[in-house]
Amino acid sequence: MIDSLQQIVYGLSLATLPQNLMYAFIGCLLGTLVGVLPGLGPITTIAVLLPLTFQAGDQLGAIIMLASIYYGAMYGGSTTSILLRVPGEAASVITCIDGYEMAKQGRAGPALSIAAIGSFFAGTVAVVALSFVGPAFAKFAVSFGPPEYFALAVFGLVLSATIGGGSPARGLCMVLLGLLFGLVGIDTITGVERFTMGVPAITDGIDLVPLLMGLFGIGEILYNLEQKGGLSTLTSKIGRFLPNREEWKESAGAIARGSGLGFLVGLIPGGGAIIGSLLSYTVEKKLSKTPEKFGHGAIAGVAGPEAANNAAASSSFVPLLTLGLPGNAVTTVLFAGLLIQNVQPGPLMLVKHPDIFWGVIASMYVGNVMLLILNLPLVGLWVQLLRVPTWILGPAVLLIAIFGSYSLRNNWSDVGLLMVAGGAGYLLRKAALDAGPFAMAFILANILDTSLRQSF
Amino acid sequence: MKFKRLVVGLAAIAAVVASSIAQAQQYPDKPITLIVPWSAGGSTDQTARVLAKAAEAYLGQPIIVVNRPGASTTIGMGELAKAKPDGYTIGTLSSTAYLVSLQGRQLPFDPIQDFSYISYYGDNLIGIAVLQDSPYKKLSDLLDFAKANPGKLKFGTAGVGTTQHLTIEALQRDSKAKFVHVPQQGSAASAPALLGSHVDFIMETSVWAPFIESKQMRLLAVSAVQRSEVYPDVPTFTELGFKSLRSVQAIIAPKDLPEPIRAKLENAFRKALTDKAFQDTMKKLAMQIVDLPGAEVKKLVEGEYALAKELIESTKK
Repeated sequence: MIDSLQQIVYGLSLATLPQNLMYAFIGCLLGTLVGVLPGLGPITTIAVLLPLTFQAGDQLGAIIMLASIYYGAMYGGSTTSILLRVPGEAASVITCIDGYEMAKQGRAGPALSIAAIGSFFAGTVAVVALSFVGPAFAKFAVSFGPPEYFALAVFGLVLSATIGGGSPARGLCMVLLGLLFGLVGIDTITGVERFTMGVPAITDGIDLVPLLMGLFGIGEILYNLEQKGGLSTLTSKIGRFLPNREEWKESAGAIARGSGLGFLVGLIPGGGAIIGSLLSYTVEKKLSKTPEKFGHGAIAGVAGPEAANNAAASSSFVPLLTLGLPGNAVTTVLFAGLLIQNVQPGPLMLVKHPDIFWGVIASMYVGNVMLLILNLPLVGLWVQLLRVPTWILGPAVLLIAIFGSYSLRNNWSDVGLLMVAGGAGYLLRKAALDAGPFAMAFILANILDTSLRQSF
Repeated sequence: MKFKRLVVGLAAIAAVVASSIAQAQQYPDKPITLIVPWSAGGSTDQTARVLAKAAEAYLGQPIIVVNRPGASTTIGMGELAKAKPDGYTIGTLSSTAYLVSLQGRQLPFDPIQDFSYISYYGDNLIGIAVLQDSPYKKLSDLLDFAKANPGKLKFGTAGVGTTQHLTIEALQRDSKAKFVHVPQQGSAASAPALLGSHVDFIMETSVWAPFIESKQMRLLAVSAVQRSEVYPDVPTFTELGFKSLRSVQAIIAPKDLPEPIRAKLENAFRKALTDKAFQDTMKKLAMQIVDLPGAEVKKLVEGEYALAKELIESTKK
């Protein structure tokens, strides 16, 4: 305990050096920005910045910046999810469900605030846990084998049918569809292509980011354009910025549980922020005294998942730094960033690069405070976005989404996928079919399939 | 009349020859694009970037690295195959690119014949790793146990049909040992599978390196041309009498690249192998630098392809 404290103080002494504070701030700002902009996510941003960090003379500074882009994006991701039902970042897809409903009821302010506060709380809890028990938790991470993953996926799947609050039968249909689409691409176990119909762009599977942006974002924009007066009349009531007492009461428990759940899920490789937020949402719904409110603007449905995705983003640094195991796509790019800086993440990291290890962890304390200060005042500004007429906002979001999809792999086929998914999203919306269960099943399909067959 | 036609003909020929020589002499007069069919940050991307940087000095033009990842390199390779063979679009070749065509996938290009070969630059070091406390000290221990208990040992690799997987298939075929393959989702997933004892050994690229250093894992054998400088005590498969596949890293271009231009590129990229930053990056990733002329790279790739094909057919029996 004393040891850890000393280490943290040492880390803080590094993280608060002026140049490192500056790197953390740039990272937080960039992270928030790409988090807010739909389609542009931390993966692309970090990958684009990687070659630049080659030249950066400052090892620790460069790594602090890359890391803060990641958790910064978790803060920003909720903004467009709440305001426009466009997930700014894949992990914020759950926030679309109740966050957007809240915005429609004129409660965008409290939703955005609680997302920022929940993120701050969870981020800080996760870093504290990381500094004191992190390395010990590495063992827990590798004990998670195929059977455990399968159990996790089944658990998530069972819960996801009812996620949107619609009829379970319709939800189940969407789950099955999601599973089907989630299995498109090369099968891990046999190496054979499934359901790709010879289209090279989807041999690796359908990409999650354009799919989610299309289903939720573009679909919603199209739907709104069709309504008389568009989105702005739906949400013209702006109301308070901060949550009231009742909303606080509803969210407090959700944030605490979301933090814990997210932290644990982030530890296991292959877990990650999005599964953390899914689990948190479903747990909140089960525990709630008013589960019928979920899907119709329950603040706990925003607070919990937002806390969970932040906690998971922070705790995924445990397997990354102490085992050298990147658990998800973002940490894979971060892993490369560390290698470029001549830092080999892994069991010897604590011995060979204690300065980097503790410096990065300590910078997360600082970064979370920065992000809270950065994001809370922005709530007022973001809410004003709702006053922008749909005919301006819609095309602007569409443009950013196209840009973001293209930037994923510099490939037009991802833009095509965005369009197809957008059309599908619109049709689903018209048919009153919920895209939430579809998205969850889509994400879980691969884990479900691979882990089941690896277990034999 | 006849004479005049001859003169015109000769002049035309001379003009064409002269212009192509001039083209080769001028080459390169604008930046060159290097297609890396993998995402930014992977081992091919990291090594190709430093190598390209070093080669720029010998070409006098910048080399711009573009990542075209997806579909196990076939998206980037397809783009390269379709590019104009003028030396301004080149790319990297990894063994994955031709191995995928053995998975029964229809590619819109020929993974070997549709390219010109500029130079080789190295091999990934691939090896069998077990946990430090495992009872298997040598490769023969592992094989003996597997022969006595067929199907009892599980191994992890980056996936079906990868160099890692096929090298184990060669080992099984030649030693008559029987293992169970548990394909993982990429190399990075193999290390946790072994650490958590979900498999008994892994056959992988250098993902084991940090754990060898921390004494949590042990290397039993590596597939390499010669013993690795970093692990001089670990025998190669060849030494132990087993076949292994190479994990190729080479520089290629679309087919029909004019020879003078190809030679210029070969010269630049082979000279770049001595660059300090390149050598450091290769070492960091436990990769071996190998220098081969373009003509031999093609022969090597054809040989590897034939062996891989033979192995895949033998697994189907």
